[in-house]
Amino acid sequence: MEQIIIAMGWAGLYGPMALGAIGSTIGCAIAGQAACGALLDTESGHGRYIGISAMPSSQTIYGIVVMFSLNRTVTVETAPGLFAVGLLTGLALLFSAVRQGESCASAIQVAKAKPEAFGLSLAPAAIVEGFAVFAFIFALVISTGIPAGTP
Amino acid sequence: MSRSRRYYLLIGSLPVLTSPFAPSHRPISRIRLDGRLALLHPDDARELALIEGVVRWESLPMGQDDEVFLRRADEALAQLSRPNLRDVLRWRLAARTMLAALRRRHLGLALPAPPVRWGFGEWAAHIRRNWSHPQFRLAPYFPWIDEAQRALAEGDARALERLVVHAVWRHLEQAGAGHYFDFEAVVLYVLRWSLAARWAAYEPARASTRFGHLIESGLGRHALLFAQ
Repeated sequence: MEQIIIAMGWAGLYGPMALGAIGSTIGCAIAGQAACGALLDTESGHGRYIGISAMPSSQTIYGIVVMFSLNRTVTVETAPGLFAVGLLTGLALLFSAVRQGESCASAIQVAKAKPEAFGLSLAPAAIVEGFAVFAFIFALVISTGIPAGTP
Repeated sequence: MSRSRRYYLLIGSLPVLTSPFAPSHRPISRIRLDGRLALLHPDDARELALIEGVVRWESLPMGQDDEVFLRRADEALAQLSRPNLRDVLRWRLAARTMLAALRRRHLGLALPAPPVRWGFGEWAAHIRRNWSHPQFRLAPYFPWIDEAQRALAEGDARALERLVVHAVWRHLEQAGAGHYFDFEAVVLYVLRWSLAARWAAYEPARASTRFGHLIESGLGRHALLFAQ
């Protein structure tokens, strides 16, 4: 039983990073495909399409920072906290990255049709980013309450 | 088969269609469109071909009777897996049935006697029941029926065509709400592309020149008969 708890602690420790990376992979792939499609259809503005498609990569960075903030000796006392905070933060980062990728794909479509609305079309993606930042910041705040753990 | 298949690359590569009548947004050629549609999954490509086989006039052989066409439409509807695409096709067939009825009445023709099929599904039966009513009691479903009837009575074929293209375009736009990168979005784009391409092909100046050439070639050496 103790081994399972320890394993869950490790999963929680690495979770934000792994789940954030999975989300960024999917999100960037979604937006990247839309950007590649836009390259076929347009003669200019290619740089910004590719730039938008990279937006969902920030979730991986947040995941890395959260992982470092959670990093401590994994024991039976620390594992439950690590698992809960790490897993939930990771899931929040994963879903936000996927949805941000979809928002970016839509923004690319809008930018193609109405270049003047380019800035405004990024608002949904920015709002989704805001929720990822909430998950990130409060994971840092709440992780201070997890026992330090003694080897 | 995955229902959540997404076509980000394909949709992203298709030029925006804002209006069927916008000269500044000429649709891409069919060859280029087919090149992009090669990205579709084979199952989805088959479903698109089924829908186009019913909707596109170009795919309907001339001289084919209504029964054959309606059977083809029934088969396509039975094979489509997405309910919303079935609804889009049903609406289009209903609109065509309504227009066919208007044209028949305008020409003074009666509806074919049963069991001959002349229109789609329950709509044909509804029109038969309401043949004497000016709009076949279809105004709630097709608010533009009155205008269509007027254009037909005035012999304004261009206005009627414009009205139908606009109505179908509006319906396709409404059906596309909530569909951005899925297969439904691809189908609705292709159907709107057909409308835009059809309208873009209507060039009055070119048609007038061609008509003149046809007249000249038809008259041949008799062209100057009365000019002397």
